[in-house]
Amino acid sequence: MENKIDVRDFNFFYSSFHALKGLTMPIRERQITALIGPSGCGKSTFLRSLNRMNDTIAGTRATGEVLLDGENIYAPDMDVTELRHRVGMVFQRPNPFPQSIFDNVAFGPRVLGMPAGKGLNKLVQESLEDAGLWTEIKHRLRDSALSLNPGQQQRLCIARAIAVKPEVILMDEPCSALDPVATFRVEELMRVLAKEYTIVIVTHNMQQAARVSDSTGFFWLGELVEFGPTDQLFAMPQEELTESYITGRRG
Amino acid sequence: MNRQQTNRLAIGVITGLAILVVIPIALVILFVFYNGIGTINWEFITAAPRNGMREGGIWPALLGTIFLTFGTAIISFPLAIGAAIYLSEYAADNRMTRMVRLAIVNLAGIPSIVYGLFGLGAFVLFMQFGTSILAGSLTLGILTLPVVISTAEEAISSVPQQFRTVSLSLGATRWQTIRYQVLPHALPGILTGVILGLGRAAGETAPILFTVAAFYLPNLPRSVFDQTMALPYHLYVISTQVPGMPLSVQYGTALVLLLIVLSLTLAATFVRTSMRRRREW
Repeated sequence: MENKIDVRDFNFFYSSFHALKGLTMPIRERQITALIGPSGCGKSTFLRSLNRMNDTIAGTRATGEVLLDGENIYAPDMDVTELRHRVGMVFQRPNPFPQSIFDNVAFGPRVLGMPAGKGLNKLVQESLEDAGLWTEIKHRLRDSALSLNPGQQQRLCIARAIAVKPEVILMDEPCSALDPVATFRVEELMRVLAKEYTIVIVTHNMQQAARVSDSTGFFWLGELVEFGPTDQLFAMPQEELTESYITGRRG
Repeated sequence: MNRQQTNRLAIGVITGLAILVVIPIALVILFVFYNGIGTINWEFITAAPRNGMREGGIWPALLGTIFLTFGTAIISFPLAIGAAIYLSEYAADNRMTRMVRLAIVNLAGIPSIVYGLFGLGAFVLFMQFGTSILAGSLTLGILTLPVVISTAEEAISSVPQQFRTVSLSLGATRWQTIRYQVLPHALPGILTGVILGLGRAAGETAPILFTVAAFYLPNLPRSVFDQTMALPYHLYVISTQVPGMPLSVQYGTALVLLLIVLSLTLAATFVRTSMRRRREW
């Protein structure tokens, strides 16, 4: 099994606050890696480090390496827009642009220089199909994306992310604003997408991590306490802290 | 007095004070309208002044004000948008940025006659544009910058942060993000600011006094390097400098100027409300 991303002794600082401490972990290709831990433990910060979205916050600093296919994304000559094209992101709350369904999905390809036409139409259709949304909305592509229900909006955001053909998709608590039915559909979708994409998901929901992921990392106060195959981590945690967290005694 | 009565009294006083604010503006408009409406007809709008400006119309002054308003828009719109984008999207919170902001605030507080003198020194004399539409538009353009920049900056900042975040996460560059996901949503707000600024510019006398306005011209301007008559200055001239001036012409001129300024302000309000109604987030 290949490592899509290799994190090596990675540290992250918000000004003087040391948010991530010496993280080392692999993220395997075409698998779902879940990051769990209590609020403020650094899992979202870590996720946003993988496509350098933290760069937009003033006063942040990173040390160590994050190797994407062996290439350090924190190297000075890294093209950040190219990186984000390869490592896409789905956010906590469904956040479509206040534009049509079509324009939402077409935005990424357009900024990468794809002209309007058959190719773009086909790409939009494929992305919506892959996100499991096509049959529901194929007759209303010109409607506002905000006319969709939250579950559909979140799948639209997934379609928008995969339209730029990323290699890795980062998901930051993608179901926390959704009802159980919509959550189930997004989880199903994640399993399907994992055949083609490498997925990293941050979740507060331990059942979700157990259901969908192949590997799980447990974060505590900016450190990676334990990392391993999901079934193993949940069935036989090696660390006492992990055990007390997943059984609900700490957290 | 119990607290319910105090409450009613407070509401009454506050409402009364709010109504008091409306009275002066309503009186000014009604007074000018009542005295000026009789003068306004097709000839008054489209004819040149005759007989030492005591008869005829105001066309050259009206046209001059239209030219100057357009000129002001052309100068202030790009400058203000650039400054507003810089301040809200790029500027770090450092000494330089604070200086730019301080400059804008102070610019708003400078008396308009000082703008006029600055325009005379900088554009008319130093840059040798002469007293011309170009010099006048530049002066008025600078005068409108503070209001246009602050409204534009506010419009840009009010675009939700998540649009930028998502756009960047899809591999868009910062400029693409601003161009496609920020400016379209901010544009109505920016336009509101520009129109408000133009309303101010259209009515100003002092800044055009030394930079463009002519007492009387027999011909219409042919290029941006020509002088022109302009309504505010024309009104000043016929109210103070011409003996035996009929009052009706003065009020008619004042009414036309007032209508121009009011319609610009109303247009700004209209753009703003229709934008709020269409906004989905």
